[in-house]
Amino acid sequence: MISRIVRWAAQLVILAGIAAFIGALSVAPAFTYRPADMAFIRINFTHGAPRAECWRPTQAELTKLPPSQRRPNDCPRERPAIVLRFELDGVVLLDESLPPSGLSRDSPSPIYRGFSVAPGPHRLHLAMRDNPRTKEYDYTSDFDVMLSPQQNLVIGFDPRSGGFRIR
Amino acid sequence: MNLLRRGLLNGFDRAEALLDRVFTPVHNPLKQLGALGTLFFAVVIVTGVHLYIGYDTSVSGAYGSVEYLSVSAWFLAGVARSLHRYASDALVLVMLLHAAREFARDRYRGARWFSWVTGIVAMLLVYGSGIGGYWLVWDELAQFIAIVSMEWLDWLPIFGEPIAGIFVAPDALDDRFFTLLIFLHIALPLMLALVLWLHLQRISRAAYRPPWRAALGAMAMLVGLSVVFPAVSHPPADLARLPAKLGLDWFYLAAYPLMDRLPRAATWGGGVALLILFTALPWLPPLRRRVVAVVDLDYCNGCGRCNDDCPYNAIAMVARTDGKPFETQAVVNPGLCVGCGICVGACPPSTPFRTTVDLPTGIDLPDPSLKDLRGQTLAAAARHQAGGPRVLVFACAHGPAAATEFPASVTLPCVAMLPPSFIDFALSRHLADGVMLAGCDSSACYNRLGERWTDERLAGKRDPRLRARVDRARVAVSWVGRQSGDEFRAALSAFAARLSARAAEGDKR
Amino acid sequence: MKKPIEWRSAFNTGIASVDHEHRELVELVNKIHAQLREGSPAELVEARLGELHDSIAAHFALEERIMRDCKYAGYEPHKEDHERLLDDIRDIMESQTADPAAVLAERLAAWFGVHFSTLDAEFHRLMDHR
Repeated sequence: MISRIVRWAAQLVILAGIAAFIGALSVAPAFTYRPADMAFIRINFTHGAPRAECWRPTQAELTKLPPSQRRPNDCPRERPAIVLRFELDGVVLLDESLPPSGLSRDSPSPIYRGFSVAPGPHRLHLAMRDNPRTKEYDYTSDFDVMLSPQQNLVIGFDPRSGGFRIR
Repeated sequence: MNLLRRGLLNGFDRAEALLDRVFTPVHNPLKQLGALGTLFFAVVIVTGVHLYIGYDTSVSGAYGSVEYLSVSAWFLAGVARSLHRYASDALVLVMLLHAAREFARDRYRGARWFSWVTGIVAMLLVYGSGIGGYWLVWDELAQFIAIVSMEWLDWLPIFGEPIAGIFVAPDALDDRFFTLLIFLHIALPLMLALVLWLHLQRISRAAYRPPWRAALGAMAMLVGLSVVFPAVSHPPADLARLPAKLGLDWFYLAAYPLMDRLPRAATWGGGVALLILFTALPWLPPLRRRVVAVVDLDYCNGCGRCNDDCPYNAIAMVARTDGKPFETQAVVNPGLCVGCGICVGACPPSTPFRTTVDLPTGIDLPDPSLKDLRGQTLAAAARHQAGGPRVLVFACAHGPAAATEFPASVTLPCVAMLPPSFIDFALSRHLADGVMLAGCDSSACYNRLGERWTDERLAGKRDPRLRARVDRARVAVSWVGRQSGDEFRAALSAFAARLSARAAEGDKR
Repeated sequence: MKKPIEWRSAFNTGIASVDHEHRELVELVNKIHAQLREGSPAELVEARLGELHDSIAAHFALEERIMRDCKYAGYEPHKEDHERLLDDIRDIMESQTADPAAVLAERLAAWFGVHFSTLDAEFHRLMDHR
């Protein structure tokens, strides 16, 4: 039989050990989410490209169709994809076609992308095309920014205020 | 799977044996894990209510209010905040140990699947509650949790636009979201309380309160930790900056680095696969063979002792169906019965002193039946080793191998299956000089109540009692775990020595 | 041949299950007594008495359950008396007496006489008042 004193001492040690374990594991080991010496640029917005024009069939074409499909207006629900281009100091970081979301592909195209960049001055160039019939970009913007370490620069898009904006 | 279980089982057996000597079996923390869990949950709720009074649920005010509670009002509230954190960490710790232990001890299969599955649901709610709690502080850690959680959820194609966008810029986040978080942080623990109640439904006399000394020790530990190492917040969340170094609470946030660094498909697939695997554990092979108790109405008069003793609420007393003038009869719910046989030991006609070869009784197991038990008792008595007093051992299948493999022994699914009359039978028929009941580990009975019932029946405090005429000096009990074969052998030798001494004294007279 | 116990209407307690078992037990006691009187080898004596012991034990368990449910104040002494009889039957089983029938008859008559007229009657009166 272990004596009572020894038992109590052992209980104290064990409980203190458990407490230390809980206290330690609740804050350590540390985890680094993003490097402290880098900045971050995030592009986040949704934009819906205008839909294609409705197709208006003539009377002759209507009679050719079966009766259940005769509609005066055939408006496509789908939106076309938008094309987004992002250059950082002249280097192309993003040049993609962004498809619309939704089951019927009729919701706006979302984008949520991040880039780790070195702090300091940078030139950002953004261009977007939402009209599949043209070759030029419908919206372009250029920004000169000075990034500090750990800064989280967010690029959004708001057609009402004329295009890209930085937050 | 069995290899893993055996490894864990060895670990637990050793740890429990060691802690038994430091804390005594009744206060051994490893044998009180579920009860400690409810204690910590209660502490978390009480401190949570206390903190809620001072918490500001707006985006701009949340961080400041927590700082005020933790620093300025340290004595009144800061200790509560630390207690709130450490008790919830302790809750995760005992919860995981409890799950591992029940898995290791094979107490989750067959009819016990319900406890396991409700336990998994409870675990998920604990994690949800804890993660939400860290979110409410709205410091850098919360920002990290928010971004990673939302980005992770965005992988599911159910959102029109990325919901992580909420946390991308300061002007996008509003107070309503915080109100939602507070609501969840109250609703999830409420659901957890409900699930915990369900978790205990299919067992009788659930032990949800730890012995007061164990509770005191646990509280002292947590309060001491809270005073010596108060919980602090990270710098306030700033959506214009990304957090770098974070002191993660690994009890709740261990998955977050993985969610951030590994491909989303991997963490989603892995997470769902693990969840399905753990939930399906009770039904994975090797499947447990089901032995279910059967009632014989010719011998059941509705006395209700089986219903009193069943640890799994598997027996109910219902209205009579055979026309006899008794009020009730026992009926077994096969979905809840695990086949421990405790009911057989409790039933009054379960005695071996009868004419017929069969031993009919009110309730019996198909295997081993009461008749099997009598046969095995007689056979065991024939296997006494020469030299020394003859000790007959009734061993629990979950006890040490030294007992179940002892030559003159009978193995039972639970030692409380043994009707006390069998002890009377063995001694009065001179089948042995002494009878030893070798149960499984003290305060860790595989069938929860077998140890308690056996002790009370032998002490004459619980029916069916061991008859007063039985010489108690010829009966011994050993409650040791699977690993403690040496302790059992020592107890057996000591018992044999006592029997020899008495025999010598008797000869002298 | 005098039966060890003759059924009397005073044995009725008014509880159907208890009265049913009392009647069955009286029959069983009388039957076993007759068998013992005819003479049986020792093992058979023990076995027959064992059956009696089982039936009586089951009956006592039912009675005790009813008493506990009614929170009968005189439960403890009543239960002690039950245990005493079961001990006595075990003693008779082990005693290897030459005339077990006589011992059984004497012991049971004594026990039933006292038990029925005192403890069971008291319980009966208490039950009547509810």
